[in-house]
Amino acid sequence: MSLGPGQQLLEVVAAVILVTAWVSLVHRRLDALVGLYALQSAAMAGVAVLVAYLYDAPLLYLTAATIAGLNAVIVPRVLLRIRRDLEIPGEVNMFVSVRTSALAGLGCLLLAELVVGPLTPLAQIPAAGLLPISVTVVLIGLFLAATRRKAFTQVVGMLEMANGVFLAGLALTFGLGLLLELGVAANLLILAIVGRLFLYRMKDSFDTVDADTLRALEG
Amino acid sequence: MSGWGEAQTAALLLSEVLLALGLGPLLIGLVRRVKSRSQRRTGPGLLQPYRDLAKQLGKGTVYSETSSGLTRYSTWIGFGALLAAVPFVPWFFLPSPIGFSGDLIVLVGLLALSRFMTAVTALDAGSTFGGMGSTRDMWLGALFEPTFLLVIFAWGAPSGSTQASAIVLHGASLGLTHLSPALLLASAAFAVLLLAETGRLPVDNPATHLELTMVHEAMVLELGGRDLALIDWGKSVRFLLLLELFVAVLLPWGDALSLGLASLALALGLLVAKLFGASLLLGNLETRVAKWRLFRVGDLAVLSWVLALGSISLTYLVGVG
Repeated sequence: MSLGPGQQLLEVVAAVILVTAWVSLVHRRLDALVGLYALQSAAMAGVAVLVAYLYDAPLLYLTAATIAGLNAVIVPRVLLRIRRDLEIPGEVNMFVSVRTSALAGLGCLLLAELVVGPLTPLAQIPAAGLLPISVTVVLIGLFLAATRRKAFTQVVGMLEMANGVFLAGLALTFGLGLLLELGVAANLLILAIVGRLFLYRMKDSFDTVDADTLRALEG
Repeated sequence: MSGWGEAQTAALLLSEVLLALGLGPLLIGLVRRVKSRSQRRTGPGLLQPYRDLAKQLGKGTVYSETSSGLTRYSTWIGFGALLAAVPFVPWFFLPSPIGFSGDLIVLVGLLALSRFMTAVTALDAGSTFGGMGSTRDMWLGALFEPTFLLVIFAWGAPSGSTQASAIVLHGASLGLTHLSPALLLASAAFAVLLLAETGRLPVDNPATHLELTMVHEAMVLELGGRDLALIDWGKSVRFLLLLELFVAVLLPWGDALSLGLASLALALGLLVAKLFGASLLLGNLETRVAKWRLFRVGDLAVLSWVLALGSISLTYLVGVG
């Protein structure tokens, strides 16, 4: 474990990402959830800057700037605005309890460690914790999208999944190539816009954004 | 064992206990001060807790008619348990004069003993609020003590020891690499636990006057005079102990390794600075959060447990020590 201070810092930032994902499982306020997503994205930008500095990949600075601007500022603002415009009630409604969610979050980490932990020595990865943590964030995002009632929370879950995938990309390939990343960033924006349209339509037709009502017959 | 001589050991032990007794109320006063300032109130002065203690100690004591003889001793035992716990926390010099391997687990036991004694005192007076407070407090203890042990194991993993001074010495020798993800996760778990164990917001409101929401305050409603002073003083020592354990493990640098006057003074100054910094953060946090519904505190306990176990799994499964 002879890590340089740079790799050490990288792991610490990755741990911050992990903690934001966990806390987003126990929080019951939508606004706080969006704030956590913004924090997580800011930490992602930090990871990109560190990888760029440590492995001398100047294009990653641009990636970092994109993440910092788009994921950490614009997308959260769009989300908060949607919530305000649609007057979505501020609390998270869930199918499973907070405690079960927190334990599931721990389960995600253990699963990720058991499955991708052994791969770490094979691949050239800047820091050992990065790959399991990125897979954990993907799993937690999936869990968030699957177990929350409101379409709004499901969108946040998807966005967290995207962050996890992005982190894995950074860990494995030192950046996926600028063009691809700009594409991913554009996709995110589109996801936010489509989510917005979807939510507006849903609110219009059903007077609610509870995705559970989509199962019932209208009448 | 430690490398101190017998006279030095005695002097160091005495200085630790006196420091804890003297500094505890000051920290409580500081947190109250920060809270009142950040809420735009003037608030009581920094020394108010000392004045309260002096007033209570000067008063006589009255016992409830239903109480047995127990109350006459239980407050002393609880206070004594906290004083006995003082040397197990690393203060401003290392190694600890009476440290032995596993002493942090003894610390958990002594804290539990003082908690138990307070609960028993509350039950002894025979009032309903006392019973309610003691049930809640024991419930909180049952929720958070397993996490406390897990955090200790997570902290001890890099040095392979659950002895406080060994953990701190090992951490200090690592330099900045000491601040690993596993340590930060475990410390985050401990920060949550600290709020619960010392009865701060959002778990318990130390300034509340509403009996129905009280935890610790409900237990001391029936006490007055010397007994109340012992409980309050003990609570401030408990707060100081846990806060010091937290800052000592998180920022292990700057402890005196020899008895030179300069290094002792520097270490003592650093200790006070770390504690004051932590109190400032805590006071600000207490302004920002509201008290949580009692049954939501379980969520907090699960979060803290998950953080601690996550830290251990990172150390042993990924090797991110």
